[in-house]
Amino acid sequence: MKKNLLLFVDFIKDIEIKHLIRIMRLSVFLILVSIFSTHATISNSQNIRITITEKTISLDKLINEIEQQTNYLFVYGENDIDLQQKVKVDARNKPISEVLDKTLKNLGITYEFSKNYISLRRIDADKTGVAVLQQTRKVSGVITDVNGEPIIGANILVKGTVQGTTTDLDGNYTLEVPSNAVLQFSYIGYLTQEVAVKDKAIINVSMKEDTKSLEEVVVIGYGSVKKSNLTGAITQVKAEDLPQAGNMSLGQMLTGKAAGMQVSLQSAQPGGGVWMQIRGNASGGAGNKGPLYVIDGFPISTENMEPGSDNRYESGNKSPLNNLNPADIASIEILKDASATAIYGARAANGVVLITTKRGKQGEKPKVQYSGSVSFQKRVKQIDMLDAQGFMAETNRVLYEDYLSDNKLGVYGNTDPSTVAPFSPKYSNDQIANAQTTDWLGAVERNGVITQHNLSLTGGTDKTSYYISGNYYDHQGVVKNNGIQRYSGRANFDQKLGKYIKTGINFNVSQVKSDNVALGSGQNENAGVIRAAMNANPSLPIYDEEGKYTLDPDQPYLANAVSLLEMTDESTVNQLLGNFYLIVTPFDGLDVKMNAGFQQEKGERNTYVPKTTLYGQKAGGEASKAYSNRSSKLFDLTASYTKTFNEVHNFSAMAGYSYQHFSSNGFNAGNSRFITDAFKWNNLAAGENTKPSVGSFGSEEVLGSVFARVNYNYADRYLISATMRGDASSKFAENHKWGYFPSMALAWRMINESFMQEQEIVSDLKWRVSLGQTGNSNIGNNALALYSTGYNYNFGDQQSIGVAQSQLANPNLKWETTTELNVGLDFGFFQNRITGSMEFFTRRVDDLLDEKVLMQYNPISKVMANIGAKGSKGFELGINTRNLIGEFSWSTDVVFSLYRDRWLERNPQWKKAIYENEKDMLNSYYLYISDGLVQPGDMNPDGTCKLPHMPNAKPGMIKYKDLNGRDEDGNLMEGPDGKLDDADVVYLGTKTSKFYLGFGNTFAYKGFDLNIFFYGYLGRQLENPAYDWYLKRSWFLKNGVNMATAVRDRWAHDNQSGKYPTSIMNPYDRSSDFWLENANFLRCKNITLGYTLPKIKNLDKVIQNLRVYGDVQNPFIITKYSGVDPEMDSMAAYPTQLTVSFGVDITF
Amino acid sequence: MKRLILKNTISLLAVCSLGLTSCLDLDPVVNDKIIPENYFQNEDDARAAVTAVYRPFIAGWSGSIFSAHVASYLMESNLVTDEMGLTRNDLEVVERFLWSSTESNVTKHYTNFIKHVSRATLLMDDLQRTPMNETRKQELTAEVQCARGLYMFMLYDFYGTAGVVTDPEVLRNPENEIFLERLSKEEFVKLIESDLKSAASVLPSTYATNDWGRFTKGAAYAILVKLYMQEKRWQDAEAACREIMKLGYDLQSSYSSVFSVENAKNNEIIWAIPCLAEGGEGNMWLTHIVPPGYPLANNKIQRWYVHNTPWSFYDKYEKGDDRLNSLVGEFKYLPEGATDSVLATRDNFEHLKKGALPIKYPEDPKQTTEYSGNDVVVHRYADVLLELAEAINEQNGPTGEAISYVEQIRARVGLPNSIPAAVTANKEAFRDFILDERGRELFCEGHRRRDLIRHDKLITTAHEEGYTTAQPHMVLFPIPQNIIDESQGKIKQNPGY
Repeated sequence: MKKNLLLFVDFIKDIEIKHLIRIMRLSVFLILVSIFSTHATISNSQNIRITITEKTISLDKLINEIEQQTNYLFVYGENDIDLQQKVKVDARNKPISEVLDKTLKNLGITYEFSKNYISLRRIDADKTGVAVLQQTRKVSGVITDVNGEPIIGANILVKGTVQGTTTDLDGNYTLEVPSNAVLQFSYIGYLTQEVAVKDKAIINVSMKEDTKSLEEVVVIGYGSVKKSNLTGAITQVKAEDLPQAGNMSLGQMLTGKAAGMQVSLQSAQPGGGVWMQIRGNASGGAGNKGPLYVIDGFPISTENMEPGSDNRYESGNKSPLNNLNPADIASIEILKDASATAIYGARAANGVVLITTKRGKQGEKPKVQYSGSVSFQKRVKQIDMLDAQGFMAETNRVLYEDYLSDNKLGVYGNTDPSTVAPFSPKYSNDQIANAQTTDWLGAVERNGVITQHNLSLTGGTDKTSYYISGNYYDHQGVVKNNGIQRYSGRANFDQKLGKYIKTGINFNVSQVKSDNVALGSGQNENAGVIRAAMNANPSLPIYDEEGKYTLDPDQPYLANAVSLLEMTDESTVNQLLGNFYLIVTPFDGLDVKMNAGFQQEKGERNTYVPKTTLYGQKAGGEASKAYSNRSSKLFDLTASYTKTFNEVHNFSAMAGYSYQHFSSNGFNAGNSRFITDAFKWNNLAAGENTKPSVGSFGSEEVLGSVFARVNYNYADRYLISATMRGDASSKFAENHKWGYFPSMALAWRMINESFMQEQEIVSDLKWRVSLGQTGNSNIGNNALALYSTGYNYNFGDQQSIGVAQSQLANPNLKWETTTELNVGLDFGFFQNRITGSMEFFTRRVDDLLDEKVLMQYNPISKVMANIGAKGSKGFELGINTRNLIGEFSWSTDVVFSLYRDRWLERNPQWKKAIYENEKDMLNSYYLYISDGLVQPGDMNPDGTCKLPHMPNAKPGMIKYKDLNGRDEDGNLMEGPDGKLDDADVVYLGTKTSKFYLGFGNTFAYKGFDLNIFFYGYLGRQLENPAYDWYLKRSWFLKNGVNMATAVRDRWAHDNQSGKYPTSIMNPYDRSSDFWLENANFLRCKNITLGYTLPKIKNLDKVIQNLRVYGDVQNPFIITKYSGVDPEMDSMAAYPTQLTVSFGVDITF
Repeated sequence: MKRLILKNTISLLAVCSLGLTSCLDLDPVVNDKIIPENYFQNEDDARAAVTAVYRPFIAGWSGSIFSAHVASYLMESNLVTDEMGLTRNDLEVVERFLWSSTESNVTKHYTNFIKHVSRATLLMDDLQRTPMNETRKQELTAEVQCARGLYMFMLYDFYGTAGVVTDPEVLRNPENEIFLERLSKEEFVKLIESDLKSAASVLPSTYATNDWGRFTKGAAYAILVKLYMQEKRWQDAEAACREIMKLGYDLQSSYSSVFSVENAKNNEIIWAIPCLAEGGEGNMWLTHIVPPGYPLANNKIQRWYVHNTPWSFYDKYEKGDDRLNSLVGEFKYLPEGATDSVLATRDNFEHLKKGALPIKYPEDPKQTTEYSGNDVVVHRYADVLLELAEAINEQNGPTGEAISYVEQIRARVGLPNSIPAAVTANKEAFRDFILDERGRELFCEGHRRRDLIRHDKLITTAHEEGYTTAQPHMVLFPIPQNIIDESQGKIKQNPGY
């Protein structure tokens, strides 16, 4: 490969030297011509004959034709000559000079033969003055766009002549014109305007956008198309539609923004993990990594690079997209159906997200933009825990309930109370009355602050354009000592090298630093800060009399929650992402593009558990240092060709090759028993542990691909697109190295049919249908038979390394293939005041890659296999309406999507649990069915329960229904069998939300803009995970574990109407529908109010635009759910926050 | 010039891409694991693979067999008897005989053990094809066979018979699924017996220090004795005990020193799980027992205070019994801020209210956090002496020899010549006495459950503890439902569940 790259470099050099000629200014060129021309050996005649039969062609094409038919080479100044202008030619065997005379004259271009060159010049640029006009006068002015920004390079033409000029960098022009002239002002993307000069000396023009030709371009895999020509299901999200302040990563911003993309936040911590999923979860049983992310043509790795903590604490889940600065993003395309994604083949089964970063435009005036914001955060919700009085009183009540039950008193039996020892409470009334409450959760929380600054420079000359930016983001979380910072820089350069070559580079460097806090929801000795605070006895102070951290004698395994804040845990993820492209356009219509790049990620983590913490004291301080590296190298080569025949047959094709190599490795070391806490991880050798920990790993992977796409479009009415990709991966067995993924799409732009021209209601209408296949190969190295170390055992006084088979091979493992049918409709009504798209899709995932469960007698329980088929169906709708336009404008965006994912087929060796069904929905609830609580009436006099399947139940315990049993052969037998076992478990459908909704409104009046955005998930039920411990297990009060205040509402002998089960430990504790609650929610994601300052004279020379805004994020959420947050919740959830931001955007 | 250049370009690009295709090497790269073709090449490979067979025995992990973790095989054995209780509510369903067939904490061992049996089966076969010294090969194979015998014995102990695989060919092709049945009692016992017997015939009686902890001839016999005792094959039990007697084991002079770090590898131990405070797996016993306030010399020892020994069991000891220094019912400590130490008793000390402290393993001065270097003693000579006494008594009544073995045990703990005459009067009385003495001597070592079952007292003891939910079928644990389901009904659940 290296050799080929070298060859390639040679080639580039070659190109550069020889074709630099073309990009030089004419004057310089003419000097060079004389030098080069001495080498010219072929003599030319001006009378050489040429034949061009096409009637209307571009000048560019004409030049090409002549160059091909003769030995002449054209030279011209690119700014001087517009190559795209059309010329009429009909020449059969005509002398070249005659052809040029006829064609160029109308364009106001003169030509000159010089050896074997023909040089072109514009007449008005000719200082010798070919066209001499009479009664002229000077007119000047500024041409601006609707925003008052100067337009550079706009054309001004005297109507009916070839005379004209273009605007300079400030939008100014000056032109000598006849006094009766009418000026035509034109610029690509704007409506042409005509103004009669009359006696005006200054004519300023504000150009109006031509909405038709300004049509959006949508990025697709390895290319882009006009939105109207899209055949696949793609949702585009523009950067300006994303909330700016107080969000670290793209994921957090995308919630509810795109139909078909489900974004759910995993944790409310700074930089918290985000789960993004496109069109359900049918694919990727082996681990659905979510969509493939491609940044400027580079498929990036989205592995979490943060190494593990190497100690007993976890620090929660962070988003791997944190390294990408959202302010650098220009647009995001979400590729949904197989027609759109199949070009990414084996990695596209879960959709593709294309991210395009900002670039400068040619001829754009340099522009410096600054945006900054500061946000303040306050926690909105955390689970309500008992205070000291409540804790003590409830502990006594729990103990008393046990006392009654153990002695079979009252509702628990018929023992005579006088025969048993009296009850002695744990806490006396005095103790309860005098107890001081410690707010443990409050002690580890604080208010959060986010600051961010973005500075960018964009601009371009006629050949070069650039975008350079820097970003600083700092988030101090609402849990103490918890924060995250990002530093990032980006440089995107594009350079035109004459007519044939365009090249550029994208370079992004970023660092994300986290101050981690133990946030894991592990229990007992593994409890992190929040879990330890929830567990903590609220009647204990944080510090004892000596100022040391209090330890709870009732929970000797539990570290003091506040002490855990003394731990230091820093992680850093550095990322370099760079790619270089070169586009060669040997002739009009053909682009050959090379794209090469690399992504280098490096994660580092340093932790220290000091001796001031419980486990740090026992370990004598515990330090660790870990690194992980991951790199990916990419080489793509694509060729694309576009041609139009007879004006109506638009044809384009693209073919390419791609090679990507991935490697990852890592290293970690740790030690304990330090003489001092001062070293932290900086002097690991100072630890006295007899065997300090050390570890490393490494792996590699190769993906090679070929792909092609063909598009045909007849008269912008009938469109067809076909793609094919072949992927080969080192991950698969020899027989199945290559996978092929075809797709085909048809579209009908009905609006362009003649019968649609008569009406005015419908302004856009396009039907689309697509069918295609994508794949999934996300199985790591799991297809190989492997022996692993780590099965160690001590013999004598040292550890011996043990080796055992850890993985079985499956030589027949195949790619997972997703086949998807999509039907889409794009529509617009009332001059596109209402626009939108609708999609229906159905997909089937065959050869599903997942672990197949083997018979339990096998030492290795699972083998990677193709275990069946899953299917997904869905509907998506995105609507944008411009309700009011004009001075007061109001627009509304609505997105709505729904999915249903289910099993279609199972492997014949499927180990079916008795409650499972062949075609169950994915992510299912399989639960026991509850029937309220056991009441005293359900009890026998001897203290046993009347329910035959729950003889040991006590009053207040959840009653489960005995629905089914098993027959002799183990098959399900309907009807009670007197046993409570998994035959009584019932399939209750999916845990996945049924509907996803996003709803936004934007208002603008004069300089003010107001945006209110909501999103929500509907049709979902959840079990409050905090209740799983802090309500359900109220008996843990006996162990000193604090409980949620809801625990007061439990069943007890003196509270027989209690809603929640008793504190007596339940031997029939089952996962049941008892705990499910409605978790539908509609969250107000943000309310943003902005004000753009009006232009101030003189100041607008410096500051072109100034907008200030205020924003409230998560101001309220509409839900009945009892937990911390219906979207992101866990046993010890990071508290959600209300964020208030103030920001400013300035353009210089 | 002109066009030619660009044509060259295209051809160059084409070459370039073709070149790349040809160097597209799609062989998987694995750097940190071993592929099977490269394994079982020499003795080192064989030894490392045999080490892995021991892995499940380690002490320092919650999923292991002899860990102090509440749901291990060892601790569940203790928990269902009267020798162990819980200070926390972690596993009351086991302690209080409230489990059913869906309680994974009691069913999970079945699945683990049949997997361990299969791994041993495969390894015995792999060893046969490993080029190495033949004698070493036979010894290593015997270790694996002994492990398999032990795994099957533990299955038998918890669940009765099981469906296990002793044919490596079945395991070589996991795609070809076999529906096992539970073997008959005779077959299963025979299988265990034959593994242990053939291991015992090959295994050495001792190892060099750095191999200490491997299965020895003594270990194989000690497990065999357990099997014969449960089968009440007293004559076989006696014979196996006498084989052990020949191997040079002896009682240590002090009870606690059997379990101490200082006296590690002492010759009362027949088989133990070697433990390391650092640099390997350690013993978590003390961490699970010691409550806050209990005086320890080493303040680095983590205290979780999970298990205790109910007072009813503690009260079976006589005054002056040295073993009460290991089963602590009272101790002196210095309360915070006080100058004089105070005697903590069950009446005045919060953490003694629920039970005594089974501090079986003395402190390791080098322990940090949860792990100590005290080897976990599984089989020891004192146990064998009492088993021999019981086997003789069952055959011939309380003979002098039988009494003398019990006497040896009691003399060591400061109770010489104290066996009441009434106890040695007849077989039944002596049987009961031996059962009690075994309880006192072997408390919390995982043997009492079997002892109580053998004498049909497990359920009555539970009832005496107040656990009225204990029912006769609970002497065996239930088989996991998924094992029954995957066998398509061929494996039958234990009766009563």
